[in-house]
Amino acid sequence: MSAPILVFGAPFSGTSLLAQMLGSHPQLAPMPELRLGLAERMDALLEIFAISQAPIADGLLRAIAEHLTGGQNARGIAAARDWLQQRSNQRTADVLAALAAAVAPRRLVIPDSESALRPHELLRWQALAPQADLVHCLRHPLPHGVVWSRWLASQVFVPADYRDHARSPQPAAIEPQLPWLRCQRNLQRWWPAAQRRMLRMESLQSQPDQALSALIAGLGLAPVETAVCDRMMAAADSPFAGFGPPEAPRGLEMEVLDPVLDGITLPAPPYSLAGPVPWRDDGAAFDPEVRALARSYGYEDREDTVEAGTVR
Amino acid sequence: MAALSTDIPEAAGLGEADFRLTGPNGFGDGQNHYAHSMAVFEGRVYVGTTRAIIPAHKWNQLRPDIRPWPVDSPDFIYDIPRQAEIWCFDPAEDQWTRVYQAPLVPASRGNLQVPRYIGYRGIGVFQGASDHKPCLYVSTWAPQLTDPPDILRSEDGRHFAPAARPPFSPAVRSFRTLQVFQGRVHTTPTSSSQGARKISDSIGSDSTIYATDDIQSADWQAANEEGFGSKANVTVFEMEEFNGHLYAATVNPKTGFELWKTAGGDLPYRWTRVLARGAGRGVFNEVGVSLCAFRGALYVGTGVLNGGFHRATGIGPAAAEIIRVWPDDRWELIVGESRSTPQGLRYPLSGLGPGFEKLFNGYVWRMVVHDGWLYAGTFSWGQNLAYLPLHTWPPDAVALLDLWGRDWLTTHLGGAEVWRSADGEHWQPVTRNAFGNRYNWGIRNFASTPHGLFVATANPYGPTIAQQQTGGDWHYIDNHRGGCEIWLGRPGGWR
Repeated sequence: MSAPILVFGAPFSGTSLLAQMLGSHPQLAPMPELRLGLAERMDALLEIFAISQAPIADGLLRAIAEHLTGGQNARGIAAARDWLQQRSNQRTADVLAALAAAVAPRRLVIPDSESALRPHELLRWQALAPQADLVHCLRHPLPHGVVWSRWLASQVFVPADYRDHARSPQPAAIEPQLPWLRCQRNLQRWWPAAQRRMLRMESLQSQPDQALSALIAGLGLAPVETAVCDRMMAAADSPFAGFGPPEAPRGLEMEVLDPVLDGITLPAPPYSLAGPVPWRDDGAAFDPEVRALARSYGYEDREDTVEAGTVR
Repeated sequence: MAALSTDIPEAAGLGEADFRLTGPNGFGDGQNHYAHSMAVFEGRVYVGTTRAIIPAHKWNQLRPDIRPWPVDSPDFIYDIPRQAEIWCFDPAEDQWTRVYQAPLVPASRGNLQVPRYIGYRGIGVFQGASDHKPCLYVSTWAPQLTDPPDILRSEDGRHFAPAARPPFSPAVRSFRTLQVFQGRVHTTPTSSSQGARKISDSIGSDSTIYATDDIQSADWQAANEEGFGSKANVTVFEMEEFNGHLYAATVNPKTGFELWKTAGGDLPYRWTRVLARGAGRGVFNEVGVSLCAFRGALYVGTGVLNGGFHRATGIGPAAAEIIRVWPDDRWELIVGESRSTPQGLRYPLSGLGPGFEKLFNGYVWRMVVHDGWLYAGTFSWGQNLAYLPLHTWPPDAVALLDLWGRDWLTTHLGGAEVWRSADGEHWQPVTRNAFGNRYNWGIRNFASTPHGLFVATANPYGPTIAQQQTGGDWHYIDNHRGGCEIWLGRPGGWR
């Protein structure tokens, strides 16, 4: 099995978006979120899918349908469900291998915006794909927090991991700094540095050609011409860059599928790490550890001091 | 106080299949509900039981709103034989033997004969100034119609005699921890009575730690200011020695538990506060339940009294956390809920939410180090779903229960859990359903020995259990898996 490329990060760090862009490279095959790190065995994974309140099976169903059971349509999704059920006594690694074989010689590019919250899921992914390269996807904590807190506030169900539980028994407030810090720390702690590279999404936005070219080179992929690079930036060749069929519509992070930026006024760059954070009503500034970590990633108070491209 | 030896090479961590049941069914008596204390003494393992927990909950006021009552319980608690027992396991014989049973004594009122003790919440080994050798000491639980509890002493593990208790209020009905530190043993009242049938199992009459270097002399002295100067610290619940200090965790239903430490010296000690406000979580960390030193840090298991929902104060339901404290008082969240604190943001380093991701796990009740691994055991109320007043629950919570399936939850996630970790951060389950017996609602004690890891449970669902019959009626049937159990695990199992 060719080693996949994993695009991991905190929720709303651009993992789904980047995976569709990067996966449009001729040597790669983009995937939606497969969530295979949730379990070692398929029966356990299918049980988690069944009891989850979120449509977390959609990505895997879409991927199976697209590459193995006839396409992303009602019949293909139904066949994908059967295909997974027939493998309920297999390992999740077997399903990953089947997908890898289906797209060979291309390599899978798999996004995930949740696994970084939990070390055991990261370790499970390492067991699933020991040779995988991991792209650690980053966003500046200010726009990250502004957009994500707004989106979370519009949701009926907000996972406990995205809340600040400092005031029990009062309801826990939404606090995006907590998962931001947790995911960055976990990725640094639990993923070997030699197999991990970082990409600031702001760099991809401000200097797309340079940032994407540097990432392609860093991953040992063949360089591409400008026209191909443009198609990659538009994720034009990805079958997963939008909604799937009604039977499995999602499988990507909300920023790809939902109008999360509608009606939001983002702070103008350069983004500041000083001053009160806009989503809190107590005037609190960024947590000192968040600020220090952001600076270590090259996020100074002035974004224009950030070098474009990837950093190791 | 349970560790027999720390000089054991690191081995593979234990899994559920590595354990065998050495002490089933409350040692053959389903009224032995809790293996409430366990210690290793002169090569043998000792367990003190507490009897008839669920009948006592029915008898005492502020009765839980559960129906049908899970265990056939008489209207008059003294109709049940409740003489608490001490059992001994001899590895050479691979056998448990009862070595002590509390006597019957005249009741303080009326003509009844009542048990002198109904439970033993703590056992420890200590050599006081007048002891010619280390002795086994047992903290007791006395029913309301007798004298307050005292301490049992044994030189040989066969003969037990009472020694004087600390100068507790007569309202104190039990105490638990017997913590040795700097040549003194320390204890503190845990349960108290506010009148007939008004018992609080986990709140003492005062939150003072008493210390003595000689239990037989009864020269007990206070080791701290009551409540460490705060009335909100209503009880000192647990103690442990770590890094040359004595640590003490409180019950605090106002702001959340506190953790204090002292370097010792002359009594009373000087104490400094290490954790406040439930380590930043507030009252959902009402009590510091368990303390365990492991790889240079102190691990703190938390909880809410009454198993995760404190009926008297309305706190909860909330699941338990594990917190790691370093010698310089820095602390980290290992299992629990992310939050902002005065010390900065905290998130669970293990990636696991409170209760190891299970709301039912209301305490991390005990922890132990065995063969280089840290083991943690929980209390769970999941097996009680069939008896709980779910009609009073919020509709969204009931909808979630029904999504999972009440029977599925009870069968698969009922019962206590045991988890283990080699580094304190990455945790793996040993059992998520109490070794296949959901009636084991708590992992009450561990003992690390050269023969393996002993795990002692709290299991109050004996000798009968209410079972719903076809057609809907409830009947009490014999429950052969009711009563505390003792499991013994070693790498590779027993086959």
